[in-house]
Amino acid sequence: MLQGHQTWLFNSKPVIRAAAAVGGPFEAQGALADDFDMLHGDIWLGQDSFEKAEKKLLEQACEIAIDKAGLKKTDVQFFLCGDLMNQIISSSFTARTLGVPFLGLYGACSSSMEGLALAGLMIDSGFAQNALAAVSSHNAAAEKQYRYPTEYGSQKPPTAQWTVTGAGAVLLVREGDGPRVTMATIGRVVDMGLSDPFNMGGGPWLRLQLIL
Amino acid sequence: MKTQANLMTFILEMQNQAVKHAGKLKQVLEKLEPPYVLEGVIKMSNQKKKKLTPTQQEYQTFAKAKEPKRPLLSNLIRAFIMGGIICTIGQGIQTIFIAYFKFTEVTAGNPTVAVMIIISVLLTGFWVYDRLAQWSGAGTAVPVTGFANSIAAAAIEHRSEGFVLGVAGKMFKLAGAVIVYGYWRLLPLP
Repeated sequence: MLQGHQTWLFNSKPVIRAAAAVGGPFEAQGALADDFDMLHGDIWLGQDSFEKAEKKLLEQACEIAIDKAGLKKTDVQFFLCGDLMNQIISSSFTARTLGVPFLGLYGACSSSMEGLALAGLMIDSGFAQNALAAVSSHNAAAEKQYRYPTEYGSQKPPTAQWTVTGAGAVLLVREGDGPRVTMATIGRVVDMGLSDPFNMGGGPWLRLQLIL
Repeated sequence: MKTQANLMTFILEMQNQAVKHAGKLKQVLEKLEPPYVLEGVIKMSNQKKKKLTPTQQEYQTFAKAKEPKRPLLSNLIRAFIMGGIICTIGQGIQTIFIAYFKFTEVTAGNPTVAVMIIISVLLTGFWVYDRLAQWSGAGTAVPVTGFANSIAAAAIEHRSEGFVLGVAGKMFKLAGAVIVYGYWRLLPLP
């Protein structure tokens, strides 16, 4: 149900049945290391390109989430996924592996919440019984596509951010126990005229706020 | 969370107000000569900032206050030291070529540059160059070593796409402009 200008109220309050997070070596040294389901020691994951490694991360996150929920791939009705690659290849190839009806998303950093909001919308409106929302990113793949080669000697300013090497997946269902998605507010893109591509803290990004 | 919510409310409110007054503001600005001076608007002497709306200017001032600043003085000193070290090494190599390999001052230039390029490429390959560069900034962008690094870095990066389309096709991604325009004209670019 629409509330106000841009907020969705989910009356049936879809439940997060299971969630999974997979990370890379940098994330393993962070403060949230204990909350990851799987951590990898290097960013290659035994693949021969960074893009394939990102696909592997995403596949693992999705599989762990589906396993934790006690379901099989065939039980999942919809797969909403986004990432940072051109043509969202990580998501598309993972969708090929999963074989679940696929809705590709692109919202840059807000893709995770975008997926969750849309999955909540689908379940609340009765268009789905369950949905898997996932996102992934890979530091080296993003650097290759958006910024400079990894070994290039350019000095990053203190405001530069570090792209995560990781993937997360959430299985949203109609009924059950767990945290509930009650509302979602879709944000607008607001241009504040900031032009430094290294400053991603203050720059213009799509803002999606999910109020649980 | 709360501060963020308040900030977003503030931004949207300012945006609405700016939109409301935009028409009036445009008329006023058109009558004035630069530098624009308006009552109640943040004065910006920077010409570039004139193109921003009051909302944007306020946000940018706010963002600038919260950003970690670049440590300018220490960056300058580090760049100076590293640039100096690299150039001293280059000079040392040139002197060795003149003293022991029967080169003259004129002809020693070529092998010196070649050795510097090899050192730079090896350091890039061993994951050392970018760490030096993070410390020293422009000090490692010193012409020869910097360009060798950019070519080597791009080549390494695109190896996964194959030797022809990846390595060969994309290794001049950063240095290509230097080849086309020449080094000196690119100096003012960041």
